[in-house]
Amino acid sequence: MKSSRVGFPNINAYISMLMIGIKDELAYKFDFIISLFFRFINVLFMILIWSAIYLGTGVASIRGLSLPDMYVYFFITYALRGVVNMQLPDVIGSDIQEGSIATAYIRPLRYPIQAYMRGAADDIMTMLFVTAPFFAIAVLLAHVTLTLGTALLLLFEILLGYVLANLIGFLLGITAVKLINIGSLEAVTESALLLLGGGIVPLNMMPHIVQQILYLSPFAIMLYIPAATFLGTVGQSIIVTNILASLAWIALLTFVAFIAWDKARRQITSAGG
Amino acid sequence: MVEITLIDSIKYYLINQEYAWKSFFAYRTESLLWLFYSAFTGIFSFITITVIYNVSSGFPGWNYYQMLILSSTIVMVIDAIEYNVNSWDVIRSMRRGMLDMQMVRPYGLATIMISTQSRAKTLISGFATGLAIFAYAALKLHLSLAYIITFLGIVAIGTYAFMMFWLMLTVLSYHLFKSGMFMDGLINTLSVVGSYPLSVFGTIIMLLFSILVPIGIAVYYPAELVFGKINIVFSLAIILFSLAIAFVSYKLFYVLMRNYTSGGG
Repeated sequence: MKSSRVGFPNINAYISMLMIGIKDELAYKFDFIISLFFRFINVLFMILIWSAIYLGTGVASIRGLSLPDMYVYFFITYALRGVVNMQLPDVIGSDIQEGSIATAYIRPLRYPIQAYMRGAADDIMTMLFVTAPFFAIAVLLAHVTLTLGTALLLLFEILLGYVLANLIGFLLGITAVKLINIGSLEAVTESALLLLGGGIVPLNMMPHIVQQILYLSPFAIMLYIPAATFLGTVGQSIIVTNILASLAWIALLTFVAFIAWDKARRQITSAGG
Repeated sequence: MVEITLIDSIKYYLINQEYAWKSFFAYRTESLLWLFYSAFTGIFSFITITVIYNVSSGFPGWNYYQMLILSSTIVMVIDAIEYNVNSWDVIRSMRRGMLDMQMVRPYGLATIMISTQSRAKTLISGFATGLAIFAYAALKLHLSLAYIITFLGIVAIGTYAFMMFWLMLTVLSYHLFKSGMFMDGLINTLSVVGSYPLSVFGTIIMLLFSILVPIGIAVYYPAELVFGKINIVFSLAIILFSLAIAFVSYKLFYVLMRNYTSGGG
């Protein structure tokens, strides 16, 4: 008998998984509010820190960024952190660790899509309650009217960042087949993303050679490039270079993900229950 | 009735540490990656401060190496506190009832919680990274050994006081929220705030982190003393305040634990 896994997926079942995931997320409303509160507080502290630096230095702009630009930059990067928030390693890692991969695997659904749908529930909630409000604050602070072209470019960059984050997340997730517990790997990757993506300091403040390398990495598109595009503080050549590099990374990581999943799925063993 | 001495409590703490370290290294790859991750915190601070001082004059009244001392000390202090009182683990053990079986042992409640419920062993690499950055900055500043010992002595008193405060706040957080999310968010915020001079945040926030959530006693004020920004009388007042915080927190901890009910089993 031909498995329904082979044909195009049962779309209703995947949507149901997404809905269950959203309900699950809503069950922890209080934790979500606390996390949102601290995210907001941390942006305010970053703003105060940079205000002290600008006032102490006595300059209107540092590397092309004025103090108000820095406010907007941090609100945007905190908004984008909600988009590139990797859920797949958590979902796949806990499935393998708890043994629930066994039940997930016997469903007539493709496991990678199941895992993505469950992670997407968290993505949707974070985008609604973190990305959207933080972005709205940035728009209010920036007093800019985005042209249609810039808005579309921004959306494209954010989409590229989201796809890259999920591909990296998927590859991290399937390392759990070998490593079982991947919490540490996940934490290392998230920290690297934050530093190399411009979540701590804008990338144009890094030494020139480091900037050139980072513009070719998959991380810049996740935070810095969209934020700088919004502010209009990055040259077109850098945007084009980074978009092309990101597309190349997507192609490469997709290829690696297919190969890696094909190998990993043959080695899956349920670790517990 | 068994009489428990301070030596017994220390032995109990050390036995639990030995057990926790052995469990930690049972997953070698995982533990090495966690050690690597933990070292990131100090490296992050180092990179951030370096970039800031590369592109600007930095913070008024604080030079690059003084800022490295401040940011590396907060890494060590936070890691030392979390090593002993990992709020997330403590609250989880209270919620799941895992703490209950430990409570029948004849040691003080604070000793039991510090000894058994925190397994954040990876923080040792974060502490080591902080110490390395601290040593580098102290060398560059030509700080004398006497200054370093004085500084670390006051930091140790402040850290002990803040650890007691943190233990009390963890139990309070369990009573209020039954979740470790608040404490987790707060410790992340403290890592950010403590890495910079409290004065940059304005008077209200400075007072908030000096009195209400007194992380300043462990890092900022000792640094101000060593760099000659406050006088010896003020620093003595800080030490007395730290001891008062430790005492009040310890008492409040026991009051809160009297009303503890396990969340499950």
